[in-house]
Amino acid sequence: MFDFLTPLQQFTLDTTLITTLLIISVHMSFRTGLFSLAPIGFAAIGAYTTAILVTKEGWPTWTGIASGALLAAMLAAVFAIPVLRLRGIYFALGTVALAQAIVIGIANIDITNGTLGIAGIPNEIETWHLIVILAVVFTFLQLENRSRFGRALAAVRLDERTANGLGINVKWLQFTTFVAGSAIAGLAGALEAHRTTVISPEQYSFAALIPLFTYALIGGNGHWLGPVLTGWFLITLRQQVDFLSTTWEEFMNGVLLIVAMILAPSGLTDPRIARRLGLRRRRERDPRGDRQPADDPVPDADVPTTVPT
Amino acid sequence: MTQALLEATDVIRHFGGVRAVDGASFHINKGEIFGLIGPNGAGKTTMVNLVTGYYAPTSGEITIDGESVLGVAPHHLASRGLARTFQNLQLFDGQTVLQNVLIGRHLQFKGRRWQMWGTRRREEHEQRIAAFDLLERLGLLDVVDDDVADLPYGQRRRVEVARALAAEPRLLLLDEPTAGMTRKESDEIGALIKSVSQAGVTVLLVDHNVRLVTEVCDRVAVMDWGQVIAEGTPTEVWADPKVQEAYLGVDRKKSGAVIVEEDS
Repeated sequence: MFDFLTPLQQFTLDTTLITTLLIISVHMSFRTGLFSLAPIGFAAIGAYTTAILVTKEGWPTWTGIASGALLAAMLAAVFAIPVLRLRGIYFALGTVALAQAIVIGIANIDITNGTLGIAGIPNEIETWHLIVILAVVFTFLQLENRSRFGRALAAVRLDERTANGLGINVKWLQFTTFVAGSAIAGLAGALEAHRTTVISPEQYSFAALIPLFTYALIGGNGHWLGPVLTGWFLITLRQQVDFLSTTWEEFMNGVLLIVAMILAPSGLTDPRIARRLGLRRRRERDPRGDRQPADDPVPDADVPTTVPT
Repeated sequence: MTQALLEATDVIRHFGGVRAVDGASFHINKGEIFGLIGPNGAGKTTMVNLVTGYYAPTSGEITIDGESVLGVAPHHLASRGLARTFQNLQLFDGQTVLQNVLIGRHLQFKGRRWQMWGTRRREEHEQRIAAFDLLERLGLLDVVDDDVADLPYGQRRRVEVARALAAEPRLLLLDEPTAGMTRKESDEIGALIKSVSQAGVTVLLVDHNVRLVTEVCDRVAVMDWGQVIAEGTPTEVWADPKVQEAYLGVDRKKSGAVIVEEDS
């Protein structure tokens, strides 16, 4: 199906699609207002679960991958209970500790082969598998985005206390999104393990999280497409500057992050940016139909009229 | 006799050594506009937070329709018909007026989370109709698409009331809805409260604006130092010497304090 691509191009495409899942995972926690650094840890859980089950126990690949995602979700559910009691920077620190504990744990037990990692994981992942998985995830995200559930998530991100008073079960929402995001991270880790056939603990370090954060923060919380497209764009851009050196990527991410923090602190999909650029002129239609408020359309009502002095 | 919707009995809430609410008792009848007033620091906002489940009382009992609210989380109380506004205006900045009101309608959605497209769209449509009706009633139809952060203060207050009303509450708690408002703006809020009440909503109004409270409220409770010092109709309450004392201070001659005459 993708035979026209060179093996290297195919590999790049596949890993980009898998990274997209990780971006989604980070985005999901940002959307609920939680600065979670745990996805990388759950990716490690997913990767090691399937690697061990498939190479040592002889499980079929897809059963292994599903188990990886499931185990990540289950562990997330257990960890979420203490970690979700924390707020702000303490929550972030809690999730760092969690991710680190997972990776250090993996590096120090026998079944995972310690720091040597696991090699020879069968690769049965094809590009179209990944596209189907992403399509399913995107569909769910879009359904969520347009529902009262998505609105509740936005409310929780903006102000937990107030959202709570409006009847939104803040804790439950945060719990479910944390678990769902971790399941997606676990799935991504498992898929990556099979696609790259080799895993070792150090690839799940904090450094691996930095680009994901860059994409999610620059993309913003307004819409899931923001982080995804930002990720794709920057990954493609990186391919172009690859010949220079890998430090360029980190440099580029750092600069972009700073520029974004100054110009668009809430990311590119912040509705305010669209409003400021005049992209949101379309007025909300009165759903009651006949009573259109636009009898006398106010010209440029949302553009502040500045009085020249 | 009218039935009590909310009943607070000997409610005590201490913050460390501060007795924010110190044995307050009052009740709100169904359908009335009840004013809760008192000097700064009297414990009014704490009382609102206790009723809406944000704080748990140190001791005492609060019931709504005879059922205790103690230990019940704010979102459960919201589904039992409580909606509130906040003293320091807590809107979802960055979102439009319509989005704010639709969040307020969270509990009015009946469908499941992962509904199929057809029913979901119909329900969304119904919710929007309800939101637009409400916004029209509150005179906010012209700013439906505006970012709430860009609105003038008076309109922001209105949006907050709209968001609370969107939940179709039985008891609406307004925590200083006219703070910082001009006389005209607070008169508008007064008219709004009356119309809300006529629609069958019981209102608890916390405010400093004596004129507004007198005009709007059926009954009033005055708090001072965490206690309810008077309860009754506005005229009864203003005539109460304890209320005058709390608001205006003690007449030094009557209280027997040593008076140092100042040289004129």
